[in-house]
Amino acid sequence: MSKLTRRDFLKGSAAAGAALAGNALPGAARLLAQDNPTVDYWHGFIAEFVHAGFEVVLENFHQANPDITINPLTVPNSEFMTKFTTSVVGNAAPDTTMAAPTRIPDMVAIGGLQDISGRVGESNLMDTIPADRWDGATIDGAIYGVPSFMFVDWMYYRADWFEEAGLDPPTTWEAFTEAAIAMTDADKGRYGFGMRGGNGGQGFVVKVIESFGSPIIDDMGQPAMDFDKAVEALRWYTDLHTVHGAVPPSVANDSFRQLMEAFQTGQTAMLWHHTGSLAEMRTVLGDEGAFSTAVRPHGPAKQIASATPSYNGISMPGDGEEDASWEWISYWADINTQVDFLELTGYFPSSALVAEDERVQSNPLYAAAVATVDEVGPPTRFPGGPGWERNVVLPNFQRVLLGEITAEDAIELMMEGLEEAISG
Amino acid sequence: MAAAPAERRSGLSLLRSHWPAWLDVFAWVGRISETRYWAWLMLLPGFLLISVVIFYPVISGIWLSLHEYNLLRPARGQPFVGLQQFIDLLADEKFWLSLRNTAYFGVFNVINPFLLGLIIALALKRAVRGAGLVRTLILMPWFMPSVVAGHMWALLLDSRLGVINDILVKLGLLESYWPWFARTETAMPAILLVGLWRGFPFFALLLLAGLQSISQEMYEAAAVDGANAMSRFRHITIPLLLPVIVVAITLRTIAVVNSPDLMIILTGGGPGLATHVLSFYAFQTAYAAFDFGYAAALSVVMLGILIFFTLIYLRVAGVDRD
Repeated sequence: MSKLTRRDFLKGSAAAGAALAGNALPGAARLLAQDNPTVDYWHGFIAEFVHAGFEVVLENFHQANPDITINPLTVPNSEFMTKFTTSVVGNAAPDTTMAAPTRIPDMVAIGGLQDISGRVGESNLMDTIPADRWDGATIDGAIYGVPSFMFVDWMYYRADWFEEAGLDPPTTWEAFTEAAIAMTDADKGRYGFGMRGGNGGQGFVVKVIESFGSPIIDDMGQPAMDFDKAVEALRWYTDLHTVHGAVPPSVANDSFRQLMEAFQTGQTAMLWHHTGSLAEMRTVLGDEGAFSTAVRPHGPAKQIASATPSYNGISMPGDGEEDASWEWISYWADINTQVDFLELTGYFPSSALVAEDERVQSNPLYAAAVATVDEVGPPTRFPGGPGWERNVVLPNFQRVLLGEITAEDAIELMMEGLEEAISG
Repeated sequence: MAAAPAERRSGLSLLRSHWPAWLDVFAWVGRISETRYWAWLMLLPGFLLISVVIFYPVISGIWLSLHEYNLLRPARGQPFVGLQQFIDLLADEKFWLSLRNTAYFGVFNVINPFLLGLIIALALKRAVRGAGLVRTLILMPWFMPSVVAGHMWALLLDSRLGVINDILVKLGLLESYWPWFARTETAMPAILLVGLWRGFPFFALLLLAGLQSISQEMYEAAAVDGANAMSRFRHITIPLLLPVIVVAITLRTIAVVNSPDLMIILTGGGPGLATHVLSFYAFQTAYAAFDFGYAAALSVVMLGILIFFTLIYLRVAGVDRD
């Protein structure tokens, strides 16, 4: 049995003290970590197949950058802003984070994202990623995120049902209404359209309003809704339920999970979502032709869709971790990274080079995304926008669906809420 | 013999002259322990802890409610606005609707679990065999995190795949699956059902402990005097159980009014504003609109309501007389 000498004891105490000091004093820990930086990364890759793709990206990054350790933390999408806001206020935000364009104005306003225009300018990223795909992360000329992949809006439809009914996928809102009614057989529990009336449905309402020609804000960021056009849009959208009964009766509580289940179990014929759910759809319904993808219909003014890049930004990196943070977020814009991720998840590349890839062009399921991606831009966004959509647009949209208020009342409340959200 | 104490004092003095100066603190503690300040000294750690974890957040919240503080408008800073945000609340329709929903949710999410918990506690007190196992089993809903319970019930009551809909349709009580959380008339009752399931073990456990502390001899004496079961329940069980009931209902009310978790998971405050309660309103105002000042005002109103309720309830229940 070895004997513990006083010198051993002192050495052990010193080591323990150093370890404690390292934990207690982040600054000291950071100094130690400069040679082997650890980069915290908040992301929302929860679904199994998406997480598997993320693991591959992580592994590849580690091989390319063995000195940098990525410390990922999964944050559910619904909880992201709560946790992120708390971490920023508490001065404990992660080094890097995934960021949706609709949230970026809020994240910047609360001081949670760094201006990375200089680093972007010094890189060659602008050469491979089209200029408009940076718009979602650009505020007052400053860039706050690097596009990693894109969620391109499209429509899933039951190809077998449409074929049976002799219908083509609708391309206009009138044709969409007709198809939704034609596909509905409430006695059999089958509905034409899986409308999102629960959480997340607010974004669809805004896109429908814009597709009818009513902007939300003008170029100066001021409220610009057109009452008549917005009412016409909301009435068309809610009539699918209140007048035509072409939407499941659970619409006011239907969110992503419920709608996916309804479509996958043969209860709805059409579903609006984006490229991010393709892998799950293929896993459940297979590639035998039960479902297909189509471009979303056009409203009177424009398509009811957007192409939403997802960004990676630098939030609050520790001393000596800025360069490593940049290495990590710029790695996501690399062609090979995006191809790897696409193959495993179906998440659409943001790089123009990858979008022309043979594997993308030759897959018929991607045709709708390819046709959409150059026609539409990112969703409307402004500081306070997500709060307005969640706290004002969604509940009033639901009240119209339930017949509690009219479309006119709802739009009036939305316009008042928009004024309040922007001017405060 | 008389020299012994002097020797002891002398020994202590000798020891003192050799120990480090900081050890004098023990001598000081020894001296103060003989005085009336000792009790205050003993209370100090607890007071400091309570100050950090209770007083500071409460005072900070009240301070925030008197200031404008919107994270999206950092240029404005945090100007003092006095009671303006409380005045704004008076004209806020959503506030009044949330207050009404909170009263509805609070009352039934306390009374229903209380009644079920009381029935179960009375039954468990009588049961002999397996009572311990049942006691453990009924605690399971209470152990389960709200998030897990919420998602589990969301699935049970799902309008397409829900087992409860399936059972009700098979029993002929429903013609088709009902979207419980998507209809104004059933969204809150459905949440109350989940609240009942989550809340009754808390009451059952506390009330059972209270029941077991009541002497059996009192019931036997009352029975000898001719009191029937209902009389014994009214005149023995309820009065002697009252302190436990008061504590349980007060704690449960505070927990229910302060927790928006079931709304967040099950309905998001909807459909429309059907399940929009004050705690959810404050949460959304803070974390969706980033208006922490207004959210603090909402929270302070909730605090005031809860303090008012607790004082009234304690008075009505006659706790202060005891």
